[in-house]
Amino acid sequence: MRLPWWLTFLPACLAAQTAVPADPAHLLRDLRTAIQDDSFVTAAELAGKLDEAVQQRYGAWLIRDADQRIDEALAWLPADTESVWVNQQSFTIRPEQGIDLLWARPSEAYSVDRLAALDDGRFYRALGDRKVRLVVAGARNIRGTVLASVPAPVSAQDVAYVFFFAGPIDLAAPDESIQGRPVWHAIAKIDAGEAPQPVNKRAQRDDENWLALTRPDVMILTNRRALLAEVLERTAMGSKTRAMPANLPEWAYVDRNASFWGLRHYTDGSKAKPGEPSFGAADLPHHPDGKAVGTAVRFDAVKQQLEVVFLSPAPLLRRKGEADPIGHEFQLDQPEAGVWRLTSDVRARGPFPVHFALIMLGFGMYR
Amino acid sequence: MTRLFSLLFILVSTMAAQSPVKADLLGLTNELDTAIQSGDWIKAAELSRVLKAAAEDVRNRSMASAGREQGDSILLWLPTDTETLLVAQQPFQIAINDQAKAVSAIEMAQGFVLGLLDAAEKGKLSKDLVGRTLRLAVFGARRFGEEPEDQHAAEQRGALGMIPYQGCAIYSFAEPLAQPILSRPPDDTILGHPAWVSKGSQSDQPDRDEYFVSMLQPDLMLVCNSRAFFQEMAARIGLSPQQRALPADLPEWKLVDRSVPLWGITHYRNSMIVDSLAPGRGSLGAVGLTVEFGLDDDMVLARMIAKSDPWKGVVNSPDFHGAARSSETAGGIWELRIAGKPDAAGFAAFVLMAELGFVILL
Repeated sequence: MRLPWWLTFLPACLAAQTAVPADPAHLLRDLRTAIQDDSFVTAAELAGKLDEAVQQRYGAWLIRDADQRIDEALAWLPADTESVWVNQQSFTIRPEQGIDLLWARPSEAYSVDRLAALDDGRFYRALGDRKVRLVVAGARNIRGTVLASVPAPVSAQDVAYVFFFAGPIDLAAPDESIQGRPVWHAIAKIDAGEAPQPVNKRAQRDDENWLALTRPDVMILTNRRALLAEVLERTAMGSKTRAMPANLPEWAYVDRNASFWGLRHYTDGSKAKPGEPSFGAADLPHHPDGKAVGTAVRFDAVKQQLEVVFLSPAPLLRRKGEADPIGHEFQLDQPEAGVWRLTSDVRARGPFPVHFALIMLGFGMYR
Repeated sequence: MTRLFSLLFILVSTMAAQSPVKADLLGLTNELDTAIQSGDWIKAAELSRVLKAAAEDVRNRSMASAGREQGDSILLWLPTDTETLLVAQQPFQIAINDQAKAVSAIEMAQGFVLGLLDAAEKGKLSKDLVGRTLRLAVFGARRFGEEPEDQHAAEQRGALGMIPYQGCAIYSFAEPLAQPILSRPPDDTILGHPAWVSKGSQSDQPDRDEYFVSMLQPDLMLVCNSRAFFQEMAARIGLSPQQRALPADLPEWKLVDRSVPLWGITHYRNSMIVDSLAPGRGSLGAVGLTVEFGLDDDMVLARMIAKSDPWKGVVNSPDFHGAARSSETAGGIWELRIAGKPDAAGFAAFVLMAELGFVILL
């Protein structure tokens, strides 16, 4: 994601207060008193706090059934899914704001970056002003990327997103039907993923994606037609298996109440092989060691606190000074053997640690 | 959505007709209460947004005329060689910086007006004032790019962030502040005004400037980054001087609408800075500039008096995302119109504040 460079240098800008909102009933009572007393300055201040409290309640109401919806999505995703994350902080799609302005809201950016890129934003614009209640994303066939940057390109071969909207959505006439569900085909121009060359403009390639509606308010987005067919079959016929089964050890470190959470269970194909540099010590975020088990992530988007748990009996590869992202961006501890915990205050550090965590989950920016 | 606009329209219309405002606001609170009680959070979220906007509008209208008169008298306090004046006359709340929220162009511009308050006392003072409403803020500045008093140019070399300048801002609060505003006694008394003095900076050069904070009245705060500017202002307060900053016969005054929420004017003394701001400008022969923020749909307007088009190298910048248009509206008057677009808002404020003298080096 390209940072709007001038934003970070501007003087302190005004924005919403983020103190814990008070009870709407109390605020309403105080607001009425202020209006009756002609105290319009106080009234405006109270109306602002009241709005913040009401919007927070509205957000909580939107995800009242989050547990059921997430379980539903896990049942739709294939059993060989390696990684899943959930963004359950509702948001409104604002195509006029541009994806670059989401740099300070990384969980939202990762939720919509692929959608926004499709057909030069055609679908993103069509969904403008729609409220997204929650997003569940899954990935499989996760492999390393040529460019070991932070943020990184998408390293998963197969990805699928499930968008739960607050109401039915309307899209143009579908291109085809799979399992009786309307399906749209879309292309995004993305970075070809080659190593950067000085001066030359980065090469791009066409990336195919498919969209489908499983219900009037539930949309699937995936980059593989076969994966879409698999997901739609599971939505229609049900399934006895699910993504990320409950006996995976990573679940013990997942907080399903967090506004953003995720887990990844490493396959043999995604771990370092004997003889590779990171086989004996994990080089995070890109290269898990040969004995790595998995990762769990939780991010509180209100408090901007991030926690990444990396399960591995191996040590972590550390570098010196600024070249060590773990030391520079995180607090590191080991609460028990084989468990590495990295925590970060994103409000102080900026979005870098979130990008780091998403790479560990096998995701990257879709650019 | 239609309902939302209808409610706001009815409310604003009734206010304009001086009909009972209180009844309308109270009616909205009742509707909101009913929605909350019945658990209709979709309706409650919509109504609370309408109520917030309506309450802010009533507040702004109730304070508008007093704020304008106060702005006129503060203009007389500014030193006669003041080059740039920024006036934020639509009341706004001081709030904590939340980078996760997309801000509008006027909010960005208000952030610049608060620059001195944020830098003084290492930011502690502005933090203590979060939640307070400003009725009016007036910011005067001069000597852009000149080294601060008692410092050598060599110390400036390589500093990133805001270039040096001398300036004072008057912050008029909607309600008196609890006294004293700082826990320690004032550090100095300047022309009879007790002042708190602190080191700080608006650049990456630590403690480049000295900041002076004084309460002129319980609701009126003066913050300066220059002792000389402070002294000159303090000496003019309460007087009716024959000469004033930015005199009324300057041609720039004819180009600015002083009724807009935030406006600015500059009469260039050092046009070399403005010549260097955009590629291909050469020697613009720039005389002055006016800016207006907070127009309909967050549009921003700037007009520069110059020999050639100053916006030629700026208007097509990708950071404007196609929102900027320029034209020559009259002989030698070049207008830049930036449509209210969230991803152009920050860049609009950044560019126009630089044209006013507040250049941020990157």
